Amino acid sequence: MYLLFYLLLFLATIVFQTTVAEYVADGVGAKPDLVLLAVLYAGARRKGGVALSFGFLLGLAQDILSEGLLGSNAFSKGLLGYLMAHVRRHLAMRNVSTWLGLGLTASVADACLIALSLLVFLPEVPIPAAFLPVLAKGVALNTVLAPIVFHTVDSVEERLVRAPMGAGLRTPPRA
Amino acid sequence: MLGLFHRHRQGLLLTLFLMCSLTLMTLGARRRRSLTLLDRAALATVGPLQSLVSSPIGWGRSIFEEYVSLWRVQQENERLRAELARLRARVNAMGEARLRAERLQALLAFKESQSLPALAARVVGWDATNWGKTVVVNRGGADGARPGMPVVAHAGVVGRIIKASDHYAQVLLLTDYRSAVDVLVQRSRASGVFVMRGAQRGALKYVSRDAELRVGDALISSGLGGVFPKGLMVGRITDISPDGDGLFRSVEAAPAVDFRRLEEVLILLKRPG
Repeated sequence: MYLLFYLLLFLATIVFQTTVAEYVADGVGAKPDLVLLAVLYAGARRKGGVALSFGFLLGLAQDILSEGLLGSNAFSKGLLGYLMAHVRRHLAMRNVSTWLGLGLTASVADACLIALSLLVFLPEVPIPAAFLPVLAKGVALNTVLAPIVFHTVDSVEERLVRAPMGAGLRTPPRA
Repeated sequence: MLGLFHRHRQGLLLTLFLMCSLTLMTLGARRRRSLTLLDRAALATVGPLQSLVSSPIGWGRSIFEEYVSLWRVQQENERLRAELARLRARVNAMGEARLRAERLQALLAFKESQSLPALAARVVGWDATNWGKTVVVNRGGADGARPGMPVVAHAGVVGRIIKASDHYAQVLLLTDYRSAVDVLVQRSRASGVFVMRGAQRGALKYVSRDAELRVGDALISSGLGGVFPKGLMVGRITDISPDGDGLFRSVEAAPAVDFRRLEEVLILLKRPG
């Protein structure tokens, strides 16, 4: 059931990222990185190895469906998913401000990791300065959307996966 | 052995992850095509889903835009409100059909003016990141689309195909910062390279200081580079700065195509090269 849920989350994220997100870009000038937010969610709910694999595969799909450096998003999303799974125990995951902070930190880290990958592997293609405002808008969007995405996906997982699985395990009330 | 694996599982997984990431980035940087199968599979899987999601969004967006436009008219002129309400149902029903017909008519006229055979396609998806500017169109290898083929709209150059599965293809747009087109100023035949510097802002680079230029001059593809045929509209000069960049003039230009409103395109079935 968990596997099916994460497979659906994978597909929904990729499809929404390549369709709906573009309409946001039309108005704001940058699109949110729903892949990053889905990876953060996986890190908040699953173990390090699962979050790393989920992030790597989702990032790889993002790379394939984009014309960026192949593997850069896979590397960044995998690493951030793994780190998220390891810091979650120190954070109040139900708190909106926690997710605002996570959205901001992870977006900045993601942008830095991808820029670093581009500088190392494609030094002959410089990143134009005009690109910075787009990145800043993307970071702001991710920050705002992080708590919304977390609470939405969490409530869907609660209804579809955790509640049905837990239903059969409840002990009957004492007579 | 199994116990050893379990003890160091996290470390092994991290090592494997790093090795895979570095290998992929090295392959990606060398532009090897060993992952073509993966590209094709991804496009073939995601393409139909994108098509499924983007169509209702397109309709919803048209309806929303019509609503906003009506609201503004109401604000500007109260007297016309009653008449607008009466016409709204009719406008809603016919507006989308008329706009689509106009776009397709312009596209058809452009197609007939081209000596190369062309294939009409619809945009069904956009780039998955902020780093790239690509779109997915609903035509692929089975329809004759191949990587390297130029993609145009009735207004001008859109980009070129970079990947193609059987029924879908990915197009690198002119707005991507890695795109560049060798152009000629139509009136004076001065040459330069057109590059983008933002969503709807571009520049003409490597233009000689003695080139004769005017604001509003049309820029057409020169045919050099082997991707775009000669004579396609690329953009217009919007500003000429008296200061230059060393040997060259500093010229700003706008693309001919409005990339925020890209819906139907033509793939020119030209052999890359």
